[in-house]
Amino acid sequence: MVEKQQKKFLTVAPFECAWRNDLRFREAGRGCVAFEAFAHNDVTVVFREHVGSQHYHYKRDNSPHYTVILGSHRNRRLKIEVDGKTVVDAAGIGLCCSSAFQSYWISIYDGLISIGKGRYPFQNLVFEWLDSNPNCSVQYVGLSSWDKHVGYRNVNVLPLTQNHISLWKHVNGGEYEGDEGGVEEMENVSRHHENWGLQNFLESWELSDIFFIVGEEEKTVPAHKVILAASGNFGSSLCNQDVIQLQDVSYPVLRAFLQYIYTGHTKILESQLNSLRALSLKYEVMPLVKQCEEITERFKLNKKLFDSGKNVEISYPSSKIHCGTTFPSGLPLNMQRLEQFLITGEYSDVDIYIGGHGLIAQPHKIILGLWSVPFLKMFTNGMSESISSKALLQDVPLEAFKAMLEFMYYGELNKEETMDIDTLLLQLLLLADQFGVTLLHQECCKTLLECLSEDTVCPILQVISSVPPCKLIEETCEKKFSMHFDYCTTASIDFVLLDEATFSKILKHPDLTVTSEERVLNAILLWCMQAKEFYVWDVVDEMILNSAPELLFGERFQSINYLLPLVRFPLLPYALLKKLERSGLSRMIPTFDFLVKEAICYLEFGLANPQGDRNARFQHRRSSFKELQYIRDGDSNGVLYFIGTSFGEHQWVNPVLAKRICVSASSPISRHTDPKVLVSRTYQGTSFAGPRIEDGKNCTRWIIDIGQDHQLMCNYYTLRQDGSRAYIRSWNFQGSLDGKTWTNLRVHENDQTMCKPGQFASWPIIGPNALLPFRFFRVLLAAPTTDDTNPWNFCICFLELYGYFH
Amino acid sequence: MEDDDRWLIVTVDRDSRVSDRDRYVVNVTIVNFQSLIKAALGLDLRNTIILVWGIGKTMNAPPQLEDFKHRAVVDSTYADMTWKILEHAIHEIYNHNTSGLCMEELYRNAYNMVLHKFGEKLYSGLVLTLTSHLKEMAKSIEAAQEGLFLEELNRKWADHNKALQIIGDILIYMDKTFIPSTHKTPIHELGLNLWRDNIIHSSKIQPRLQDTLLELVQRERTGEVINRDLMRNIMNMFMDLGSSVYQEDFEIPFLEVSADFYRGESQQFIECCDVEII
Repeated sequence: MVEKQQKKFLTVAPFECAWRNDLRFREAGRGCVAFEAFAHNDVTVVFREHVGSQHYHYKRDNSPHYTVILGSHRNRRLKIEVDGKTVVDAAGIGLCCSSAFQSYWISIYDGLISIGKGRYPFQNLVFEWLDSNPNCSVQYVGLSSWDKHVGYRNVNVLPLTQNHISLWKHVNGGEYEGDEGGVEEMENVSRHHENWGLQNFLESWELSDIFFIVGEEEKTVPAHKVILAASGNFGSSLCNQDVIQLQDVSYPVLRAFLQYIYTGHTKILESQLNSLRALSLKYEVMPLVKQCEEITERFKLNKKLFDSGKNVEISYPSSKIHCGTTFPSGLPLNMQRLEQFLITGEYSDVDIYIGGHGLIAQPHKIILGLWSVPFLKMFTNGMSESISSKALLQDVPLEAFKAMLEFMYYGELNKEETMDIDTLLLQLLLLADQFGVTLLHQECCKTLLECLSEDTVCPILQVISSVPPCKLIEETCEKKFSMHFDYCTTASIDFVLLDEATFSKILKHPDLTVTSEERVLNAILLWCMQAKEFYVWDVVDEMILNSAPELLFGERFQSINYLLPLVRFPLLPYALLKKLERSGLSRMIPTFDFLVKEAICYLEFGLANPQGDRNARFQHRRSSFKELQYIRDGDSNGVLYFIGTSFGEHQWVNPVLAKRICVSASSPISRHTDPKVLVSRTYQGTSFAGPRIEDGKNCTRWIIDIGQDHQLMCNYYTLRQDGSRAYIRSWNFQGSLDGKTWTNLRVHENDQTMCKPGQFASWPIIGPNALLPFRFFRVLLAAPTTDDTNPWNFCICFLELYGYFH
Repeated sequence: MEDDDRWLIVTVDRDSRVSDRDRYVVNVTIVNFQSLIKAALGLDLRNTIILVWGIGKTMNAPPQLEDFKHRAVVDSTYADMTWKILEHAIHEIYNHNTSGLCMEELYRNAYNMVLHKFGEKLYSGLVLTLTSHLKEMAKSIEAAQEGLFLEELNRKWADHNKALQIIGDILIYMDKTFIPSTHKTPIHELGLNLWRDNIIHSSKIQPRLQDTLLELVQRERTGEVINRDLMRNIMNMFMDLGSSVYQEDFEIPFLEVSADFYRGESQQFIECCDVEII
């Protein structure tokens, strides 16, 4: 066989295909396969109804199948074939990688084929295609190739469910392992999920507040007012009585009726279809009436179907594409009415009080209990809340609780409300965790991941580390933090509130990116002191001379010995190390002294012990930045000059001509608006970006793109006026990662610096934004210049940027 | 502020002298920390509601999101107080006073303890409290009279099950997060194991239970009418405790006794019927 089982790694030879019985969707036509592949071209995945042979090839297959080819045409195109015919042929997306394993996922849902990159299914979608004639029988997954070997590993077949997060957990856990246990666990998770729902309350006395008496035998059947009222019109009988007498309705009919309302589908004998229709018409459960009528119609048209002993199945047509019904979607309930009940408190059987706020809502026990086991128990286990109709909740944030209630009634998060308010979302996450509202928990996690930014990682990390099932968010936040270490430890002092485990994980993170090791040292000292304001190490040095380290670092005194070795002292400049050696820190903290001496020794003599070289302490950080410091106006130290020399490899050439960077103006290129002039380092008498109106606003600007693979934390920039009389007064210097959303780096308002023709001027970027890396930079005119004839011309003939570049 | 050692205790006692249930006596005292602990240990928790404020301290403030920002340290005293509340609730549950408890408060306290990394304390406290209750139950079962032994056992088993269920409700959060992550025994299973170890396998009950059961079987075989429901409940209990308990404590001795019985029976049968054995 082509497989190498023992390593859970398989290489598929050219024109072969690997089929395994376990690589199969649990449900035909629906499933997702996540895998890692390593190939020069043509990572080929085949989906068909049955397994094929080793020498199977999709080109010769007569039976229906789907084929997805990543990196077709010498790794240039993405192809999807249906039964051998090419239906999608898109250039430049979903390519493969020959230098390392790359993660992909492909999901198929009734003909909807989605392809994405990365380890987390349903994240990072790169392509989606819907088959108008869906093949819903595909079930087995074949891993194939074209003319080159293709390596596959970590192949996981996942079911399609509501909760993607649990799939991610699975992906994380199952890595490199033989996945027998993993799959079982997965099934448990989804089974638990399937069991959840309103169907558990069908004919249950739990939390019921009304009952039917049906048939000759006077059988009592419990139900819930709010559910009935949301599904149809039961008239006044719901308001003022607790019993509905239905002598002429038999129990099986009522049962089918309730089952339809509570679960969205039911079965009934064909002979009872008419009574069911009559019952649903009486109570105006219109979807059921309509479906009953349709079925009766069908029977009339086709007499052969007529068989009075047969069961008829009726299912509510669910509008949700992805399977699994979450309350209330997928059930024949009227959403507007349900929302109304929450607002008005109609049919409410519990008053929710929140400590400090009084009565805040009159919801329904069944809906709270449906979503949350603790609430269900609260209302049923015989303690004070289940006896009275009042529940007092303490220590619950009001807004977040209301948002949770709304989620329980609408079945989804109100994104507009929660998206931009991070604290509310975090509180909601905590509440969802506290009351075990699993789906809300997942929704919050998803939303948090979507709107994660450098500014929010710190508060999120503080909260998340105490809530157990948020590993993915925690990891993402830690990664984000370490990639923006300088910013995150400067923009806010809140990072000292992180717990030690989290902080040291960030410090050890392989993606940790810093401009200088001094910053790592500063951050560690601040954290250990639990500082309330910013210091740099020399301030701490003075402090330590006046008090003992035990007092200064308090309860984190022990941590300092553990964290300091994470500073890569040998990367610090020699002069600074010498200074550190003489400092009070060295005298008072033995670990510090040892590390500094070791680093000096290393710089002076190299390593005494060649083995120690493997120690991370002596290695450069993987993604360190090159420091390009401003010296004087028009120097050769700037970023654009550096790019012009291909990063120091040859004599300077104009980087725009060399196509290393891209400069664009707000007006079309002309004799006086020339991108290459701006970086040419020669004086040009007339050079400007002309006016341009966008969205009714004047936006005269110059944009510089330093290239896809580069980023700059800009801390200084230089402009040179052209020879005209238009002096700029109000403008903004901005940075961006995507060229769409811009962050202000420096705002100039009525800045009088420019006053002579051809004059240079430079400005530092102050504040934490100087530590944010960007790819795009622009100067944007905010108000007219001093020139009255052409007030919206941005007249500069030179621009240079400085900072930390990589 | 830091070294302010003044604590405000407010106790609300149900006034035992007055029959009216809604009469309470409120006491307010300011004490230092040492006396606070003494006072806490000395109070009759069954009829008392205690509120404690540390003057100039944030410790007893409910730890919520704000506290993550305001570096509040939830220390072990907080955990002690919280545990006292939960312990008291467990006593009440075993005393059939469930309706007087507030699920929200108990659930919240248990949640807070787990959230603030006092799960270990909560779990070990639970084990101790359950064990002490089971020890008490064991005594009362041992003290039961000959004829009422099984009834008493059955009643206590039902009580224990009911209590266990409600305790499980309070501790759902621990069951869901702390227990799986630390690979401890889930609460329900823990309750059953403790019942097995403290009651069924206690030296005074185990042999007596076996004898009683076998005697009942014997009595029925000799034609007496026995309480079959009781017998069934006890058998169900054995099954709930796991098939190994059923086998060791009942099935094996039962089969031995049965073998003896039928051996004797057949012997008798052969003797009394004059059948020729060919």
